[in-house]
Amino acid sequence: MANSIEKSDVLTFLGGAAAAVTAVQFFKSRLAHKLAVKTMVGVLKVQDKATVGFERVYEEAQDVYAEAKAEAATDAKASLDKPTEAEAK
Amino acid sequence: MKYRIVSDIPGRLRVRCGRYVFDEGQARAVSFYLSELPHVIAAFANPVTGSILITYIYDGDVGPDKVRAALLGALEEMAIDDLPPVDAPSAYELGLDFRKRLYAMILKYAAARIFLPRRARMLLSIARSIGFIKKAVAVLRRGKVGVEVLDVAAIASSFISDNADTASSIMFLLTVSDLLDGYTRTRTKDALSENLILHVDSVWVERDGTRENIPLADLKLHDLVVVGAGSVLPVDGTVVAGEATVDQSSMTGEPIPIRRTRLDSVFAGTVVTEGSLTVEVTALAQESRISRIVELIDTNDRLKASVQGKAERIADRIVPFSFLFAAGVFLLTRSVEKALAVLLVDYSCAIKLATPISIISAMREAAARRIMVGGGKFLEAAAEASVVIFDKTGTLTTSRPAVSKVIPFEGFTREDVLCAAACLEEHFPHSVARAVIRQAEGEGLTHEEIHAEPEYIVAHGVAAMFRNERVVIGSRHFVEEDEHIAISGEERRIIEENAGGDSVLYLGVAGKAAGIICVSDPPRKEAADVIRELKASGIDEIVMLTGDGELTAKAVCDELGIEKYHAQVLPEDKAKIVENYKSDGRTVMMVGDGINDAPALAAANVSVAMRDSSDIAQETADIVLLDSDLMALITLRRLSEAMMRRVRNNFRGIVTFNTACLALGVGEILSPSATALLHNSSSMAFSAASMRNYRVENTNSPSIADLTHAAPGGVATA
Repeated sequence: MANSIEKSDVLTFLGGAAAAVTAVQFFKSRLAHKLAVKTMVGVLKVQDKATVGFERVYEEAQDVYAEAKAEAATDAKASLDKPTEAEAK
Repeated sequence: MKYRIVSDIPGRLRVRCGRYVFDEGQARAVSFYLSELPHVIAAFANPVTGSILITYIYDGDVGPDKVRAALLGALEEMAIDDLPPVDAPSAYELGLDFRKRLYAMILKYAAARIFLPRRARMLLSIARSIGFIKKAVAVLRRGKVGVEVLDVAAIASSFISDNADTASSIMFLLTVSDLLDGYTRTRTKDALSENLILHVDSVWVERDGTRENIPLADLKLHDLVVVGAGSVLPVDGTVVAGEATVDQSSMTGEPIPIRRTRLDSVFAGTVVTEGSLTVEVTALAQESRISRIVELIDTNDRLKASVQGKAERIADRIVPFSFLFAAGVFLLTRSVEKALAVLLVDYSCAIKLATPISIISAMREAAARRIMVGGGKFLEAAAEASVVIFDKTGTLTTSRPAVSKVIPFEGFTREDVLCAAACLEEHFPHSVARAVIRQAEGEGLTHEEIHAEPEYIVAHGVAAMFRNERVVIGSRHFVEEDEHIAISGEERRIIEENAGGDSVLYLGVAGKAAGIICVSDPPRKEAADVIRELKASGIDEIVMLTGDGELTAKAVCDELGIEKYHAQVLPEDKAKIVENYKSDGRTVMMVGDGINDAPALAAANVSVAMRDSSDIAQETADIVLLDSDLMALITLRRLSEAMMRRVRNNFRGIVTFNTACLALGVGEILSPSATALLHNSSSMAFSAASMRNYRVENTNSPSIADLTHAAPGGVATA
């Protein structure tokens, strides 16, 4: 069994263990907490901006629709008021 | 307040004030303040974008420019911090909350797809699936194989075939569907509640020794409410004076009325059948009662339309077959993808979502048109009705009959007859009674209450002691046959000469016929049109029932085009006539207004009362027409038919579309992701489409769509 374990395997194992210990220490540290808070703030800002963006798009779409309807109503009214060819003659 | 105009057309104005100018609570206060200004139809302040949308009305006198200038002035002067807070959230806030949640969901989904590596996405999807698995397990524990189980099977199959992204899309679409379902149901129910709350009642209260009629909304605790026979108690309270029998079946289910006197407790929604009570208010229960009613309408099997119940049962029964079919496809083709397509497409969730939404939307539309419907079941019955039975007095005829003649017999004067009649009739809500009282008051005849409390015998007549003599008033049957008062040949001749098509009240004093009062009861001006339209809408038979004589009944029917009628009908006979039609397998709609119609209203498949009916008729009836316009019956019929058409069309559309998705998925023309997307999108689309306003043509009342438009040339609100 000792023959089948190569040097690279041992190094990989030790490297992994070291990385795990470092990671645990890092996540417990103040720096990690600050980074996490900053990231969360960034995410919330993005979410907030996106929400505002979507909502503005929704409102602008409503405005465009309302204005188009009003214009169509005005055009329809104007064409009703216009004298027909027969009346013009 | 500073603002920038972003959209400005006559009747509609949007301004932007900048983000963070007002928070959610302040936005509500701003919306409320602006919506109370003159000419404003609605105002919505959006705390997310800082915009305010105002829709307003204008006319020839006050043009759009003037209104706009006034509104902009109000906006400039508005001090947000000084506005009083408003508690209740509006329908607009409900929509905004829904959109915010939807945006958050879309963002999270997109962010995960873009930024997370594949393995991380898979782990996240597995974590999310736990919620769905829990729901499915809960359903299985109840011994059912519901759509939740189908969803989990589809998700699990996606994971097994190493298709975590498909699983994730399925879960995303299911969550969006749930969100939309919750939003549409809540919005529709809120709109229904709002309309029910606007059903403003008025009550009689005793203040400082005098009686006044006030709106129910103005009632306070410890007020003294006076309730007479045939009226519903509007509040909970304690009896301080009077004696009455009260029907408490709406509260306790007990069918026999019980006697209530001083210091007894009485409850809102119960009915005084005889006597009268003065009640001190101990609880104002209106709003919670309405919320309970709306909740009941949606969930109570007794009130649910049978088509909804059927849809839900069909939807549940399809699920096991979906599993069998998926298993069959897998066995035949050995393709997980094809089997997944079968699991992904189920008919049940769309059916279960779209059907109740269609029904509640129809009820909301009815409420906006001033037709209060007690449950989807009654709209369904209104669509299927083949027989309509009308009561005559107060329903087909105007609610303001008038005395046309007062004819005394020998030994009595005209004033004696009218005064005695008014004294007996003044306690009761019947329209003919009110006509007699109006006539007596108009002639300046006083009628001091020196008699004992009258007994009211339903439909027959009234009896009481008056000036130490027993006086009776009512129909011929009551006076001649029940009270054994003889009518001579000469008196009969007088009656026949004078009655014509009028209703006749017979008065007897101390065992002798004293005179008659002819009450002219002309049909409502729209009644003939309504009869014609009902026949055109597929009603096979229209019948009129009346306690009046044959002559009166025939005259009214000839005028209105009604072929079938029953005259001199007693209340229990009215109910029997309704039952006879039902036993022939016909669906019967009964339209009535009086205390004496309550048994027949209760017997019918669907019963309709007018707003100026007696309270007991309104409480018994399944549907109340708030505007007392018979044309609302045509609106009701057309709306209910439109509702049934929508339910059937939805069903056909859902089956067709999903079968096509299934075929394309099994044929591997569509990928499982695409199939899931199409299926879930179609469910959402059918649900959203079911919320559409109903357009009911050629009726007098405006629709919700009409009501949300500004002045001519204006535009729809948000």
